[in-house]
Amino acid sequence: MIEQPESPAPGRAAGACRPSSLFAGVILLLLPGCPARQEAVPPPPPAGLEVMSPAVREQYQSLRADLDRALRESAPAAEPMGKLGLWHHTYQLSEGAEAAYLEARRLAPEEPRWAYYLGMLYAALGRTAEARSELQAALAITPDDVPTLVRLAELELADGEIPRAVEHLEQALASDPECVRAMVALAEAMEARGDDQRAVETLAAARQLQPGSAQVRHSLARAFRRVGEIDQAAALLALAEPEASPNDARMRDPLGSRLRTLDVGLQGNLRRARAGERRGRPQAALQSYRRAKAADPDSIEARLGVARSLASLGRVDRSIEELRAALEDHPENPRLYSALASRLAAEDRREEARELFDAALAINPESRPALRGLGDLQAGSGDTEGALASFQKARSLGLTPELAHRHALALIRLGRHAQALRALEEDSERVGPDRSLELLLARLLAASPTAEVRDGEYALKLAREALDAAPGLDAAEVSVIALAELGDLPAAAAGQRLLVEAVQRAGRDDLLALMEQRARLFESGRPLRDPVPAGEALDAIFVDPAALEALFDRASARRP
Amino acid sequence: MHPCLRLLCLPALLGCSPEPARDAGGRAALFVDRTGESGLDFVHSNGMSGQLYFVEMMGAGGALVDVDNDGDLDVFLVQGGALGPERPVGLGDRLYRNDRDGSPAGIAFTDVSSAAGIAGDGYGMGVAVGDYDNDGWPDLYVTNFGPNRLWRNLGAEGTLAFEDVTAETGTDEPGWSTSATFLDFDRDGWLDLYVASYVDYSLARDVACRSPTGLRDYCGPLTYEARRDRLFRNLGGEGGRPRFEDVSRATGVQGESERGLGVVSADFDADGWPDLYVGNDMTRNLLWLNRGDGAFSEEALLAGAAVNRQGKAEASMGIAAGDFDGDGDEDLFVTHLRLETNTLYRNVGVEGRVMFEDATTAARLGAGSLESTAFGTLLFDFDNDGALDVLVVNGAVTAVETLVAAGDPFPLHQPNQLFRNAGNGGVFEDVSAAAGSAFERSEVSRGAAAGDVDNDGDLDLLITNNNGPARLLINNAGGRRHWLGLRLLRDPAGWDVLGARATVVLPDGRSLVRRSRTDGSYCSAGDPRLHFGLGDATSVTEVRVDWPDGSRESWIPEGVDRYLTLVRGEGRR
Repeated sequence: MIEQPESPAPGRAAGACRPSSLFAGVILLLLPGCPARQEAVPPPPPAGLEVMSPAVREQYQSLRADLDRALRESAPAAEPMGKLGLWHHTYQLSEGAEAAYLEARRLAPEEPRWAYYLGMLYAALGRTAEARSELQAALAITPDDVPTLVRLAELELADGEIPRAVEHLEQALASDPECVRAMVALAEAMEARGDDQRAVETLAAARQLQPGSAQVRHSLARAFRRVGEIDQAAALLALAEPEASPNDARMRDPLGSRLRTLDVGLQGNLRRARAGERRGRPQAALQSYRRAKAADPDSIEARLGVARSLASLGRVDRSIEELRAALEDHPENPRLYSALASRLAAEDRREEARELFDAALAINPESRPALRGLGDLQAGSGDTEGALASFQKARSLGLTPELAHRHALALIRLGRHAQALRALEEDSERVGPDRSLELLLARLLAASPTAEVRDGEYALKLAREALDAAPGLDAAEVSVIALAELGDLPAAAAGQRLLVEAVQRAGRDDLLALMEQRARLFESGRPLRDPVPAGEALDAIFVDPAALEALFDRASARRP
Repeated sequence: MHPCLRLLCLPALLGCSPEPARDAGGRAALFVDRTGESGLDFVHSNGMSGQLYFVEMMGAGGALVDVDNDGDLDVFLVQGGALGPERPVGLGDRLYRNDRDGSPAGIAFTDVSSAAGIAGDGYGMGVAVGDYDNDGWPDLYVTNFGPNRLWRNLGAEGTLAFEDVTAETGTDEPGWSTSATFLDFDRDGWLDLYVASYVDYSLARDVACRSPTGLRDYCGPLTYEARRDRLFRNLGGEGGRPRFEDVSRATGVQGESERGLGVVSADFDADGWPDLYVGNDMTRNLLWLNRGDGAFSEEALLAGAAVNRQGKAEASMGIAAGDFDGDGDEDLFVTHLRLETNTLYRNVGVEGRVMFEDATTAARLGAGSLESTAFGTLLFDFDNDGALDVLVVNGAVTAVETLVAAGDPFPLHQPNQLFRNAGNGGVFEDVSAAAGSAFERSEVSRGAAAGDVDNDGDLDLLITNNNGPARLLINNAGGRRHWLGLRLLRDPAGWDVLGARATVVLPDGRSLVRRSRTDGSYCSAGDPRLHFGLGDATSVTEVRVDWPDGSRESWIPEGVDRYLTLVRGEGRR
């Protein structure tokens, strides 16, 4: 569930003046209703509702049911009506949004939100005069609301009404001196008045507050150009550049790259945070991610990093809180839905996770993290066909070793071993060397019930190469299964006993019964015919390589 | 606007005409749709089959070009085709010869495609026009979703004939090309060729995309990888058959290609070397400044023409270049997706440094563009008052909500817009409501080209529609003011020198600057003749021409309201 934003002003975020997003509606969709006093006329259902994605349709139906209930019971209807408007607004269904907002505003004229959202809708559609009128109506109810003041001023600027815009912006900055958006608009007003130097100063101050903002950077660069500070402008714009192509390197002054190394704002902290994660220092990573977030509260990467670091430190509830807060601010971002869903899934809160994955896919049906997460959920609940479909779609959008592994594993679970073999071979070629893929392939070659798929020699080769690289239980287990497939069941049984010991030493009681059962299988003279891996994180269980090596040598000596 | 208000406004727009021209509905109009009676019976087919293939919503352009050198503009229209699971099947582009009989309404076109041998078999996108072999006859480069075609105009007197010289000239590009332009970037007297490419896409790899609500919809460009643009250098060869070499890498332009849709050439930094501006779909636009040493450097970001005011790349489609503010340098107008404004970039460069300022808001061109997705665009003086006006042709790329609700089978259509430059340094007013029934019609417009089809001294319009008819709109607004038309030729037997620039000095001291070009807009090509609206001026003090080779000449023309041909070497140096 997504919670209500703390500010009474529409979409206002704590500690900043960021005006409400068009998507803030999603947040409010889930709020409890407030009373209204008049009968309402809802907008007609949107065209194509029946073929919209289930999550989106259910959102609508739920909101519509709330509204119908209010109407049936003669209860106040402004709030459910307004939420219905937000739903339309979120999905860019302008006509429905307008109709619902107008009704909500009529039913609750004392409530500023509906006039505000109506103003935002009209502004996005270029209906400037109506937008200004609605924002002024909202301002009449809450005269000091910063987002409303700033939005109104931006429209006034667009209409060339500079003094009026400046008045509203100064009022906004009096309430919130660190409102960067107001500062940017004020600088624009100064430029329009020809006061370029003050524009530079204002934007430089804004950049101090929000160094990661592309808008601030570009506005400041523009202002620098106007005052003839071309090098300063170039330096700022170089910060926004992607990695230099060879062509860039040949043609550009390298000033930009020197400046990049001095960047201490968002990018610098993100770099440090990622390095901390790579080095296994989640506390240091958390600090850097928090600094990055302070530099740019809108940075999704910073907020995801904070949540990830918190989870790594075992502060799972805080991690979930962080993700929920990020989602409140950016309900349009499918990555956040997927991240929160994955975290909840890890906590076995599967239904909530499923809803969030569906929401992510409603926004972006091609979100790979959401498809992967949904596939994991489906696989975990026994819906292997569903999981396969999710992984297949994700895989078609871009292949990674993890996706290739999940996809092949789903095929294996469904008994489609020949297909799995083909997929593994193709995907391995595409993604390059990857331990987990190679071991899954080796496991399939060693333990498939389909004779045409099995190839014990190759399986053993792959497994031993993996063992040489890192002596984990994952590779050792496959080696033993391959020995069994090659007919050396005594060696397999002995090897399996080594694995039982390794599992005991590691304290992995969850694997003990399976390992012992498999040892008995080999001791009874039968190979394994089940290529599904034994469990998770097997590579972290150390197996004595010397003992295994001796075993392989003996087995090798026995084989013709 | 209320119909009565519309009529009240019109006399001001039309000058002092006592009887404004009327459209088919009998109403006064700035432009009248003469498509039907002109014989221009072309209907574009995008091959839509319900599969929502990405390519089918892009549409194609067309050209106004005097292919037979008989003094009037003919029409070339790029056709789509059928889309199957494997490859498209082209339906054949069309060439219509202008057989006007001289009477005011006597516009008559004849389809001569087959006889001229120019139909082609590709799924077409755009067309660029230029005389690449300097034989005095305009040649056509047709871009396709699939292999492009360079059509050499054989130039036989009395008959029209073209031959496909793509392979011979080395100008093929097999991917998905969009807009292209002929320019003489190395100033050797031979036209080179820049070809913008869109994305790496094939029907077999079409991705099924959905709208935010989960409805099946067309994909966006970021679904597919960008495909690199190409620059072909003309190796020349007097009296022979020139070949081109691909210099994309050597000149540096291949390093930064994005999802290109529009391209225009102009000398933005006033150093005498033609530059290029490329509009890209949802990735930053590129400004290739010609360094004059065979290479280009990309400077859009620093020049302020890469992204919008918020620092975000927008979905650029069509481009127009021209001096809208009358300060002598070339500005840019770029069209964009719905919920993004179209953008007017004012060239404010000084001392050889190119610099643009986003003048959209001040020019009043922002808010009116938010509800439409715009493609083709022109900076042209439709009312002959000396100030460049703006045409924007619109058509969505994803389903329009209200049209879906109405059960429209192709829910992308939107009306086109005409903005009049009211002067004052470039403040525009939306005059679409007075522009005639053609501007009330809602279609999926894509290409736009301007040219004086009836040779009456004002600029008419060719508009192409995706999966719909091409439109010929005849101008009835310009005839009330004075004008001057110029052809700039290298020699009497030559064709128009693209990139040549003329400055007309008026008796009151004002100067008007225009460049000979066929490029710009979206996938389209226009009249290379330079058109000067003179307003009330009945004479011109001087015409100065800056030729691409760096030479300058001047003429003192006698009289106005006519076309003059200025040949290099015949003016005063």
